[in-house]
Amino acid sequence: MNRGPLLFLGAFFALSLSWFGMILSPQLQIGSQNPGAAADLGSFHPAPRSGDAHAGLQVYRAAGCVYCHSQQVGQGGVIFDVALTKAGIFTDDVATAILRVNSDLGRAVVSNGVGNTNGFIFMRDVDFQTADHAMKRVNEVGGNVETALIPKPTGRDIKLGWGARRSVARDYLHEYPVQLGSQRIGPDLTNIGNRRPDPAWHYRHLFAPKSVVSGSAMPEYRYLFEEAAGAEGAVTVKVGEKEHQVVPTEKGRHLVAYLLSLRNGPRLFETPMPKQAKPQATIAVAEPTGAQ
Amino acid sequence: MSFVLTENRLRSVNESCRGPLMLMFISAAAWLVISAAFACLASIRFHSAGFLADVSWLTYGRVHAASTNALIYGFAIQAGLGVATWLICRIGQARLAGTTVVTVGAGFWNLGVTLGLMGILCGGSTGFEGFEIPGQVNLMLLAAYISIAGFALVSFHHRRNREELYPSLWFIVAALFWFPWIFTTANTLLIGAPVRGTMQAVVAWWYANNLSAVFFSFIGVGALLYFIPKVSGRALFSRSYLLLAFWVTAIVAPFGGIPADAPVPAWMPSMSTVAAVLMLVPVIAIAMTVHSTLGQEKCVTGWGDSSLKFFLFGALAFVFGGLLNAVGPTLEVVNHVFPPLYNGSPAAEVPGLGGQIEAPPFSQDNFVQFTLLTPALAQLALYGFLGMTLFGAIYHIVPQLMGDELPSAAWKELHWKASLAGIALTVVPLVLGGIYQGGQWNESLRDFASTTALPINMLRAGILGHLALLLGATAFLANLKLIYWRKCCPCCVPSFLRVAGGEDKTAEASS
Repeated sequence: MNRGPLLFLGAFFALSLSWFGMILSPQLQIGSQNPGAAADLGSFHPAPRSGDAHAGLQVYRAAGCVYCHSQQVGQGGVIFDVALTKAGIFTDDVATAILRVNSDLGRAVVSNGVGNTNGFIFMRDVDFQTADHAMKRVNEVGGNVETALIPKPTGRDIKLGWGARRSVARDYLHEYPVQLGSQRIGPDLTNIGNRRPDPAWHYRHLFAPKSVVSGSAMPEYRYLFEEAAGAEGAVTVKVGEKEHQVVPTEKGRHLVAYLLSLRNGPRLFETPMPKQAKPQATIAVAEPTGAQ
Repeated sequence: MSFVLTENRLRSVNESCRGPLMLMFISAAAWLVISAAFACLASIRFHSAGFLADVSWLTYGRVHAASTNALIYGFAIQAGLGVATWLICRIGQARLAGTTVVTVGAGFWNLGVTLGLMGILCGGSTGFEGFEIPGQVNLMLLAAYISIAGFALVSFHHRRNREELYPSLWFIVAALFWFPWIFTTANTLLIGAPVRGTMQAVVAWWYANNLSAVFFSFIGVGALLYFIPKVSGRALFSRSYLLLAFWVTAIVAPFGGIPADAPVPAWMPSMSTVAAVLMLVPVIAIAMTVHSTLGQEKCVTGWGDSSLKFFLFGALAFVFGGLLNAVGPTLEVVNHVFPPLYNGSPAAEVPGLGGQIEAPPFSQDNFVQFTLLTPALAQLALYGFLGMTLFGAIYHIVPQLMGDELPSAAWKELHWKASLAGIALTVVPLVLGGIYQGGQWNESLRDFASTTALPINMLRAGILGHLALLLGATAFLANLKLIYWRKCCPCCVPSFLRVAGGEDKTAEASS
């Protein structure tokens, strides 16, 4: 019996199944996302890039930076702080309730905290069940008492300072191509614009990585620079004993503008994180003007 | 069931394949040399950061991409197509249809890969791993592929003399259909009408995963299932295991490939994790088939056989790679289904409420992601499994096509040993570095730089492996080139390369 047609139909069926599952379904789910308001009023995410930074993405792509650097922050989980935001009228009962859920705090600290109108974090770094339990115990007191749950992302990437929260699909709406990367031979670059805001540092680093990061394994990108002693805007790079005065080419400027535009974004509804840790959103995107 | 194949028919099958297939095999070997040379050039950067730093087109990222693309598109797909075409003709006892078109197609495939690599070196890479060849060239590659695979399938459908399908053919015919579908999907959704945001990454992962886990696996397994029984002289053990392996791979494997921490909806990495665990089924089924086909004593003596050892190594690499691939995902699944077994913590601590803002399932500080284990396993699959299988197949096929013996058994032996050393020296250090990285990243989080020192030294060690692979690939190319040269213009072959008897056989075969 000739099973050729069965083979063809079977292969077609199997591939269609994965196409519907892994291409069409996510496309329906996240394919039509748009930039939009972040969790904090007044911030728009993702913010559009400057022209230089936009061009710099193509330099990044062409140079293949993606083979050593990832651009995605992962998150191990979420832990919680619990805060008292409003003590209400039964302050003594609230203090007792707080002491009952967290006996590590001294009575003086608690009564001081309950009196504080700016809010009082009475529990730190606990899992959801514990936090939820504590909130219920305190809220039971009544009398207009109010508590708040503060979620804090955790995990190796967050601890390394590579971002305040995990990356989500919405962060990449302006990227083409999206360069998530699969290797971390070098550090993650999701938040490099916040971690290294100085363009001159980036120029030195690209020209001679070891001049600013000892033991760096990054290749030198001297083709992005021209040697120009004494020229306006030249950056001085010390390589060993020798000093180079270099000026970035147009591509070099674009690449650094792009790197500076990489900032782990603001709080989003899909990634809860504490309010204090959102300054990125309010910093105006500095227009990098080349070497200072 | 026996193969009754007259000498004449076998010869006419081989004659129909000779021109296009020799072109494909020799070009594939040449791309292998080029790929190894680029890989050496890339590894030098880990030793000397300033090496050729003034030349934009030789920068690390471009040379690295050129190396992997030469290996994938120049060598693996081309040699895989050649072996697949020959198997279809040989098993089906069919003369290859449309040889001229296939030859022209092979020429255009090579032109496409050449232009693609030039594009990558000039900075035109698409930026998607495994799919870097610039979009402008892809139409040419697709047309070339269709003109080769199309006529292989025409020979399969219209000229096949045996209606029953040998298991090799299931895998190979499905693979031939698979590639154009995934390639056009990737081209449409990444280049023609690009999807937005991380959907690009999803499509790129889907393509790369389908290419390696389905297309390459099918070609390699199809070849192994023909050559292992053929070379060892034993009957294929069981069809039912293979039936299982085929359908599970075809249906489950394409759901893999999404890394655990990816910024995509959480069900996608979960799906991939489950798929990776289920992929143990075909791996074990194929391991059992190969093992039972060979029988125990042959497994031991087979390493002395000059052809069988390539296939044995290929099969071992396939099984080991498959098992290693499943280790991480299996642990993740066990962690979620039976938490106490995995980390000793009671099940009650697993967060139930608030699941939406908890970590997505299966992504707790993943062990494998971002470590050198990923490229190590890719290298093992591409070079160890597929590459070695195709080497063995080509060494088996080419003497039949040319009606002559290989010019040098010593070069073949050199190719074997150098490939073995090269694979060991590129894979083992990366595996060690990857395991080290995975362990470090979970424990000490203070300092990133200190966790990368050892892995970077492992990458440095890789240059020895790439040099060995370069040596082996050169011996491979020399053997193929010389056998062709002797046949086509024997007068031009320098006297020291002529082997007594070699020409006599050529004359015999051509008469």
